Amino acid sequence: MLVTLREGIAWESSLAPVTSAGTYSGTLTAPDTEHQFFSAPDYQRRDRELAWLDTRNAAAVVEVSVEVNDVWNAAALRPVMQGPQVGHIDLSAQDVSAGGMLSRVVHVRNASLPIEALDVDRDLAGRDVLIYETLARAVQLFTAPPLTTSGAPASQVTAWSYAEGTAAQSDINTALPLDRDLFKTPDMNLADRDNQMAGYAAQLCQVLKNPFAFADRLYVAVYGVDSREVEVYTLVAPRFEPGLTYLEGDEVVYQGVIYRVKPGVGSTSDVPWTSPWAWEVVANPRKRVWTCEPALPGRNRFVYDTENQTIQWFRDIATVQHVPQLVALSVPGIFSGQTLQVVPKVPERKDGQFWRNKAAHVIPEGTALVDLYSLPTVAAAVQRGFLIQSDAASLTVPSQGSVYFPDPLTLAHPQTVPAGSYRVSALVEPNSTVELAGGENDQGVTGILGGATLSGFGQLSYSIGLPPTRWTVEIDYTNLSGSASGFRLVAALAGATVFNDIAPFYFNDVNGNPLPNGTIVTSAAFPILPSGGAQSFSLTWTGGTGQLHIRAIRFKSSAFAQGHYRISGTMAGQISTVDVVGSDRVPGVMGWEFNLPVASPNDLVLNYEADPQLPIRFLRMDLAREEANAATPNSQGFENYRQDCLQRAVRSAKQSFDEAYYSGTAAGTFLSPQNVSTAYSSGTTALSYGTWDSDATDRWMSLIEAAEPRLRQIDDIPSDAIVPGRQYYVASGTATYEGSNYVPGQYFSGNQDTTYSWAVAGQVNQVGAWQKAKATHNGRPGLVPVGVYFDYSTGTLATAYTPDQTTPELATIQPWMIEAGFYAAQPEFWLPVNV
Amino acid sequence: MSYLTTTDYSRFLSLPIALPETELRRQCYLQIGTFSLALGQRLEMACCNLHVYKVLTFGVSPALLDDTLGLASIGLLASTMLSSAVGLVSTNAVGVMTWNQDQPVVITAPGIYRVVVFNNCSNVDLSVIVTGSVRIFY
Repeated sequence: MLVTLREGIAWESSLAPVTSAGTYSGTLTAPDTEHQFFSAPDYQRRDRELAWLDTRNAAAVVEVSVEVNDVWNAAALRPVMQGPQVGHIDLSAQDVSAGGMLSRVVHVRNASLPIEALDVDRDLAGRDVLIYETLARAVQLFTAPPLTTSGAPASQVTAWSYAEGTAAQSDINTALPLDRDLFKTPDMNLADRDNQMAGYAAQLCQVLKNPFAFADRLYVAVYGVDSREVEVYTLVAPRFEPGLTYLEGDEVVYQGVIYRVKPGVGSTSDVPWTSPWAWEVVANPRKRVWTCEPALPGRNRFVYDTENQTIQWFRDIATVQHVPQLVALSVPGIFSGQTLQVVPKVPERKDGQFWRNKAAHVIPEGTALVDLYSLPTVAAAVQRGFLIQSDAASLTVPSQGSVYFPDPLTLAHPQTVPAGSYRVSALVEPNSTVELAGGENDQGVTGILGGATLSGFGQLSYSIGLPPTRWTVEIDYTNLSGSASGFRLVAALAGATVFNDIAPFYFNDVNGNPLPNGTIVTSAAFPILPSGGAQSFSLTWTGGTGQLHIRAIRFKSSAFAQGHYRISGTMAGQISTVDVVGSDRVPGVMGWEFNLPVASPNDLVLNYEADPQLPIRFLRMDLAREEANAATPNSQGFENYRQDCLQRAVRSAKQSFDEAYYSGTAAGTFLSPQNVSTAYSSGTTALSYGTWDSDATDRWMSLIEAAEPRLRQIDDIPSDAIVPGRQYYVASGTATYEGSNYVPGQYFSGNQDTTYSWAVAGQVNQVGAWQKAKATHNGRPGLVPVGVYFDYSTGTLATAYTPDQTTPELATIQPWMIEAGFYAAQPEFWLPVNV
Repeated sequence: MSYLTTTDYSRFLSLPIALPETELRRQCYLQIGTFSLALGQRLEMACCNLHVYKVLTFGVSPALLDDTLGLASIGLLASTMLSSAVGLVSTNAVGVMTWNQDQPVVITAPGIYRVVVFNNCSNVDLSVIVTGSVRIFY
């Protein structure tokens, strides 16, 4: 049966079936058949309603055609509509016949009564439903089908009847002779309209049955082994590239002509037009090729063989070939357990983690620092010789300190690192203030919040070395029990009294009334002159009532605005030296490099050799290994690819910020950006304005995270903190989530269950494109909030913009950004810095 | 709208970083550029080449002050600590070393940024040449 498709469907005299109230009825007009009364208008209206059903079918075809176009990016047939219509038909059982549902139409004959025309109408209506239902079922392959079922049963019809379809618009009319053609001619016209729609539907079903023959774009995912996120492959024409060897059957486009290597040739590298004995011109390529980024030569391709109807995948690594598979939307991949899935949906926005995965496909030449161990704080437990201040370990005068990097999972020590080149980077901050927690005394007296609570009159002493210049001392103290209006204290440095107890440390208000217990009071500053070496600073409680609690002791000096530091590091006998000048309260990064000839413990000894000017705080330390990259073969020309991916990851973060703040799930839960005088809050989330710190960074990131679940890496996720939509990586152990076990190296996504359990205890990390910046990341790209800056005059962080303006921006990580807790791009985005 | 500028910034200044062949004494540094970046501006440095042209002290094995900074280095920094510089180009031998222009240094935080080239040797004088440029979008 051959149906010539016309470009559109005429509206003709279509009329919607409506109730007496004028609303859509969903059923055809039913003429009065009980009283043998022939009402031509009712019969006429019924035919017009059938024509209207045809327009609904046409609209359904258009819906499917648009979806095919959107999903496959392929031009699909669609009829021209002459008016707006809804692409949906509901089954109305009384209006259809079983024959019609099987595509059969029996027209009226000369001997027929008018009432028999109603049966023909039911045949035609059944056929309309059949066409619609066929299309509706075919489009169910789409992730979001554009049509829903009519409710009709599945039809097994494989052949369409022609039903004497003839285009001749005509309506039943009392002015015409009451004969067979009065009814048959309009019905034949309706059958013709059905034939047109059946033709369109059949064409679309062919596209849906094998999209590879039509698609200009595929959306492909790889599941199982070496999994790949779903991504876009676009149709390309393979160009002839001089120097490459082509095998029999290979096809290229050269100067606008398609050439194929002839059978029996074996292989050739000849330029096509110069070598007719090796190449033949073909009208249509046998292979359709789609490629995805990075389109490395000969790789990242999906190939459909139109003759054998097979598909073959070429991934970015060319070590193992994929055996061509018979065409289907889901086929086996290269390895056992690997599946290639063509996802029939419109590509969605990709997040930063997607671009991180893409960036990893091109490894540049050069070397890279691979992070191994980190000390986010140089805690008391991992060091020796440092002065532990309230918020950091420090070297206050030339002296020696040592640290080690424990296993992040087991905290085991010592940790042995294999032979190789290593770099230790430290985030440091020269600071003219040295603050000791009260509890860091030699007597071991402790108390709440790191302070020291004395049970009675007694002495606390602190070992400290300060540069030999003028310093002042302040003491934070309070009363914890009983009533007290002051404490008599004697302060001594190296045994010599520097503050006597003639006047008490007051603990009362301006009216002389005792302050509420627990109120922290800062004493007036008194001067000291240290020797430059280790000395003992003591506080002796000699008089007063209550219970004295020393929270902190603060030493300050304004003698030096800058300090010179020569600090040598030793690891396994290898020595490396830093020699720099630092400014007061300005963070910086120091580095030591070691080339270890044999496997060695990672213990590091720092020898602060000079000069005794400004004490220096060590805020964090990171150990990384320098490794040569195993560069991706034949990736010349792709040097910029990682940066391209990085830019896209930043763009995604920007869009996520906008969505979260203005239109996403978190939108509207923040106070008006214009209301700058109040806190910006959303439940427990408050964005910062005016000042900034690492907590503000985390709140800012969590805002963006509301719209981009795979934004940032967070290590060691507790077992009850799984968030839907976020992705997790098993670093060690075996995690069980929603009934499945995941071993190291495997990922799972947060779904309904917010908890996971351990089959074998280990660590689960949250996956993301950005990670909290380490000292080794200085100079690397990072994600920063616009308007946040470091005030070098005060040594503080500030933000100049209101929270709604703190959009994410790509910026190079500077030392103060590491202290601010900004996030750096994952190493997959990095390029070698020097070339 | 031009293809040469972004929607965020309507203009940019392209400023040179240049130092003709210069003797750089041991343990010394030279500040060869200063850029004041205001709020809302953006600095990009994609091009920076450090050429250690000659070693001027012969017969001496170079002793490094800071083991991570090579014979000589150039960097962009707002503080005084040379090892904290971003866009750091270091070389361990005579010749040219270049910042990887595919991943430019980007600075959006306001501040005064200096370009400093320094001789990291305690016992060797060097002859160095610097070429490069920064762009400030505003």
